[in-house]
Amino acid sequence: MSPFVRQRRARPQPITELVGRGALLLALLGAVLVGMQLAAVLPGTSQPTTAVLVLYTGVFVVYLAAGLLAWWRRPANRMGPLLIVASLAVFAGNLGNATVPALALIGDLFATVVFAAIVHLLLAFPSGRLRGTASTVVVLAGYAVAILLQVPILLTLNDPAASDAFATVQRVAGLAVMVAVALLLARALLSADAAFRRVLFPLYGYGFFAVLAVPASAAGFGLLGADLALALAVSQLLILAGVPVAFVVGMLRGGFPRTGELMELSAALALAEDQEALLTDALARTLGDDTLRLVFPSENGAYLDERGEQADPPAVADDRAVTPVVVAGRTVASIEYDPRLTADPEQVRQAGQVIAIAIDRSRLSAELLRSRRELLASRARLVDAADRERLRIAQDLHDGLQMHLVLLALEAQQIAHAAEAGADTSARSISLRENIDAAASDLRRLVHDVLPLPLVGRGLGDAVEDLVDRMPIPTALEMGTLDDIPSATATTAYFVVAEALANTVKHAHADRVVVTVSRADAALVVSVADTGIGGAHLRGTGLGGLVDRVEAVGGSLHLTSPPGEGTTLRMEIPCASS
Amino acid sequence: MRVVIAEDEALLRQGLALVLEQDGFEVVSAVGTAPELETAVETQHPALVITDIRMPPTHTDEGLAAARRIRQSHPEVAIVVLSQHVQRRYALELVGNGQGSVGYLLKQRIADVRTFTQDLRRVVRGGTALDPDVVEILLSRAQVLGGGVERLTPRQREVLGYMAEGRSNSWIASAIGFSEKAVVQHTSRIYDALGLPVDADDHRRVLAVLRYLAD
Repeated sequence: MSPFVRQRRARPQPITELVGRGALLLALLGAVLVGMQLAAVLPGTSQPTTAVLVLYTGVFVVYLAAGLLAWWRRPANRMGPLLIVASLAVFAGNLGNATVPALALIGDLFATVVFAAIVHLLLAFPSGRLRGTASTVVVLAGYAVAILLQVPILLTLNDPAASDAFATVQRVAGLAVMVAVALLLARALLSADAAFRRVLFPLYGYGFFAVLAVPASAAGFGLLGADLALALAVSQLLILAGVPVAFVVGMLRGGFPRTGELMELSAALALAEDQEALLTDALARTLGDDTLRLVFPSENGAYLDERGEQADPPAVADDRAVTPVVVAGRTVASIEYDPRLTADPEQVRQAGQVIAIAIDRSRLSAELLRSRRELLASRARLVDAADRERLRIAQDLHDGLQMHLVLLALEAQQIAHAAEAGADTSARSISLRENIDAAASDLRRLVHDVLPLPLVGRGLGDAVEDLVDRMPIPTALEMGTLDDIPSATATTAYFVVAEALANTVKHAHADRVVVTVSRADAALVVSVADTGIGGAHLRGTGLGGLVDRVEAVGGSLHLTSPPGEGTTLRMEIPCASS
Repeated sequence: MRVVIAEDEALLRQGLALVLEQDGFEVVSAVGTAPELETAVETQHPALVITDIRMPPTHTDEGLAAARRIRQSHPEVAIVVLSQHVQRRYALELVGNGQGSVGYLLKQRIADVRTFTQDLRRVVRGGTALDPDVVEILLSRAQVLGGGVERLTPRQREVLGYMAEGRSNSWIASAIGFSEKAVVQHTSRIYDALGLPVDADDHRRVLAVLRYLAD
């Protein structure tokens, strides 16, 4: 099983529901934080500054809202959670304006974390996951520069020279990180498709610009007049607020938003040993839609699911939409999904295209599974038909010929006893009666060989016991409870035991036999073991003819017969307990 | 003697009734299903019931089940169960409870009318009638499993078989051409060989032999 499927199974509730609930909770928490922050920074400020501080809190709301939107629309994508983390960085940064010293200190400490978060977002776009050691190192370095190098600056605030020196160290280190970021982004751009590049380039450019321009322009505050300084602050905040919007738009509308999931999906496909039901699960996860169904059109206009079972045709409704998966101009499957979760059919189509080849393979497997099932069912029907025919013949012989032989013998005996019969007639009639009895006895054996009627009436246990009772060599019988065994299974098991015992008597030179019939788990298990000369073969004996029959009811037959070490025949037929 | 017959094949039912009437039985009811049989036992108070094992509606073993119920509710009624196939388990189930007045015979035995009616009368008198085929299964099984039967002489084995069938000493004597005294000697040697308690009563003797063979 792939790690992929395991992950899905571990989830007790549909992801959309969980995320929906989590997002609602976070939104409420955000509202509370907004209130708290405004209460912390606003007291004692004058009109224009108040507006800037409210705007700052507004930027936090934009990040949080963007994160929640991204998370809700793409539960499997990590961009949403990342944006939410970035929103907390913005929140912490604004605390630097708080009137309470402790809060202000926290704010000062986290003043530049938002830039590290933006670097993280840039390198993790579009899946929200960092790929490669270089990216991880650069992101960690970004956080280190933003937080760790902030500490000495704050500790030396009373010594402007030292503080400036540390600030310079931080700026240089930050620039070094940004050079690395630029290289990584350039590499990502080069390896991207032209279509993706058109979206990636402006996004990377904008994010990169935000990280460089906002801190750099902060130096301008000292040089500018109050009005210009206000305008600068507002434009800094607007640039920062634009970042999450750009990421969310790029992620949801960029045309390649599923890349991360799709890569994961391809990896899962490559890893999977068991293809069954993988595609539906993978697609559902990729699109964040647990209600997603993948169905394959079958020859006769019906639809099959991945397991080859009959499925409902894909249906369009308020909450259902259908997108075909096309391979070489032929619709090989249809994806039925919830349009409220995935508004853009193009995204579904793209996801479908990524796994189209796998889908085609799945479709062929589904067809194969179905025809195999039909074949098995048809074999089982043949066995059933043969059994019914045996039963009919046995009953006809029993009710017809056997009864007539009783009446004929009775008639012959009556003649023998008739008053007018001479001694000769009487003797011949008695002889006739005895011959009829002998014929009846042969017929009785024949009927029993065709199908022992006690098997139908009293079941497998009694019938096998009757076989063992008639064994001319010591035979032990071990039997468990044998209720509710389907008749085809019981009949098969009976014939296997009968044939095995007949072989033992004829060929094995055994001095002991053990027959066991039991129901282990969900299977009927029969074994016949003797202490004879061994060397038996499944083919070439009467058992060979039973192999097909055993397989037709889904069972298996194994013969172990090393020369000189006895013979063990073991039969197992699946047989669910009701 | 009042007899109820249960046999679903009409021809055989009539043939059996005829044979019994000719031999002096009074066939008070001849039915084709197990429920009818049980009703007839209630209303006709027969001394003897003769029933097939397989009967409608399921054609499995309803005759046997009815026989078991009648033995519970009317222990005074003798029962002979007929079947196309005899099995050790059914024999033990029918005879094993020790009440007597029971028979288990192959249907084909009807044809040998004299032996058959003798068997019926013996059962009505409280005796037992086990089919030679099922006795043969019991004997060869006991012989294979080696509980002492294999040490008997062929003649002793034959006598043991007759005992298991429920035959009396006098019957056995005439069957094998011995004097009754010689048969008694044989039986006591068999008892010794198998370690069975000596019992003159035919039915208890059958029980003892059956218990011995069934082990």
